Amino acid sequence: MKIQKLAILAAASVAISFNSASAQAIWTAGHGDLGIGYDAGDLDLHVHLHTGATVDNVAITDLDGAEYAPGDALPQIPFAKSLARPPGETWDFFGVSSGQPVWIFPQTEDSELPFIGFGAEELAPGDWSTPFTITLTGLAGSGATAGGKFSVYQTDIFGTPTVSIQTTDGITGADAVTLAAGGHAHYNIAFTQPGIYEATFHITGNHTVDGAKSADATYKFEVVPEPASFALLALGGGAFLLRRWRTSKIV
Amino acid sequence: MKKPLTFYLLLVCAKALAADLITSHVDIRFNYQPATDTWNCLLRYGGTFDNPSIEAGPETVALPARDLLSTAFGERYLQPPSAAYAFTGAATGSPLWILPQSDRGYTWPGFANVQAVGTFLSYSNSDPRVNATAKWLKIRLIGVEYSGAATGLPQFSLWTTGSGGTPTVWMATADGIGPTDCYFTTENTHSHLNWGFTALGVYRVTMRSSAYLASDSSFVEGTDQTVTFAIGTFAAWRATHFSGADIVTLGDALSNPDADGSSNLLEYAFNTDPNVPGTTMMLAGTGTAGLPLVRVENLGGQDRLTVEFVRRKSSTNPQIVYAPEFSSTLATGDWQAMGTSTVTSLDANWERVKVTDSVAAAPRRFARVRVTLQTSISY
Repeated sequence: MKIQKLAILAAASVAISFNSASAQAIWTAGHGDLGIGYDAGDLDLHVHLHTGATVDNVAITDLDGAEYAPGDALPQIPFAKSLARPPGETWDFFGVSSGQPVWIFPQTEDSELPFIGFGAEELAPGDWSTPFTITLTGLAGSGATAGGKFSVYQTDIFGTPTVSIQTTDGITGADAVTLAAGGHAHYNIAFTQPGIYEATFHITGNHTVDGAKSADATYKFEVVPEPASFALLALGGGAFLLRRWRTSKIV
Repeated sequence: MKKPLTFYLLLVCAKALAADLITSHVDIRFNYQPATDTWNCLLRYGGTFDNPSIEAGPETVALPARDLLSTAFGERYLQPPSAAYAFTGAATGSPLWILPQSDRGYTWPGFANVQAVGTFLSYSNSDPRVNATAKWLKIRLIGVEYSGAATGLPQFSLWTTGSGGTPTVWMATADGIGPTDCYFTTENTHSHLNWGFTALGVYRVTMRSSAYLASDSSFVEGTDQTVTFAIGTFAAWRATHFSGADIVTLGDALSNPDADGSSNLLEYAFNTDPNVPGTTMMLAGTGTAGLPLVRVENLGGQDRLTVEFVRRKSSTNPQIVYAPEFSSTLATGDWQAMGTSTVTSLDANWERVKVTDSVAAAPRRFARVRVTLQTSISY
């Protein structure tokens, strides 16, 4: 009886998490870009997920991938995928002390995480006289409210970080990534607390004919919080079931 | 008479096949073809990052690295003291040429594969570098052939630097080539890495792809595929005049594929085509290519021997030394570097040099330009 009840609880918790996610495409693995396009005189900001990327637990099979409005695709990092902040002051920008956990969407592919790039490859380089500037103007969401810091950086060939955006010293005009029309770049996108992050960016560029163009967009990211005690109970039930099943198989 | 002539022309055409140097984003694509149960390997470049529009077989292109400091628009770095990077095989402070994982506006090679979703079997890969369950595609290093002047053992390595700054080493030849010299990517993934080379020269890197099929769990492995990297000015020149395995053989410094008496090294030094026979000396005062021009000129009432030639600017790190020398006897020990020279800049890469002998031309004087390929460069 008890096992049955736990199994039901587990099912219920799964259903709840699905319901809460239904408004957004949950992106848990594969390549996608925070993209800059241009349409009828306006910058078109979007999220472009590539073929094979995992959304709502299913791989995208369309050879053109899938496109979402900013914030409609939610890249997630599981709680367990934290890294310990390395020692050394070059890593102070994270905003936590050495050894503390940070959660990072990495610049190099990890098959278990979204592989997030910045892409302006839909745009012809000749149409834009300067690179795009993607400036962070705001950070909200439960992760930020809990004191979580946000940073965007690259490590070079020998591992030294170059920081483009970091909120440890506040949000300033210096918190920006630049990207040439036609370009594509991958960065490490880091967080220091579980929760949702809503990062608002101001994107500017100069079209050679249409002049200066700008737009704002809010992209969402989530460091999935540690399972709550309720969910832990459900998981424990699942494990118990599994163990029983295995035992019966062996015997 | 006609038949041998036709044959000769065909031979010239065959020799003239040159590799295209790719100096932009480029993906090495290993794709499995279910219809034929085979793999192919194609390089894709141009177009956009995720849909490069130009396709080329690996033996028709070469990927160059410039022998300029990374801080001066080049690909030359210095080996860091950190033990974490000892895998490159370069001594601390030695030059290391790297095609980097992030775009720097030049050759930017990565791996990609395009498959029907669900082609590859998802399995748990316990290799500590990945340690995850995914639809893995494995790219194994089979061998590296080096062709160049370096002494010692030139090494190749392939790594990524992660978000925490520590490198993940996928391939490294300094400790030999073994089963762990492989890169794991996943179905339909496109990724970039650091490609390191410890010496100037041509590297022919041979790799083989494999995966397990989702349909029947069978292991499918491709054939060996070789990608050519041209490190430095001379290697890039070789790759622009020859392609594939020919870069190593016909394109060797001392080969003379057009049988005109000038080895490739001299063709390189004097701006001539190694596939087009030619024995023309450069034009006095205006020439931009050709063999050194040696003549007697009356200068200030006295006959002097002069030698005039085009020279690659040292700023291009040509890896060659030009030594204009004079002699009265042609005896081996009699050649001397002497005289006064004037240098005229031609463009960013070339200059014209005229050296006047410091001894009167009578009764007889000889001149030559000795060209030496350096094993390494003191920058």
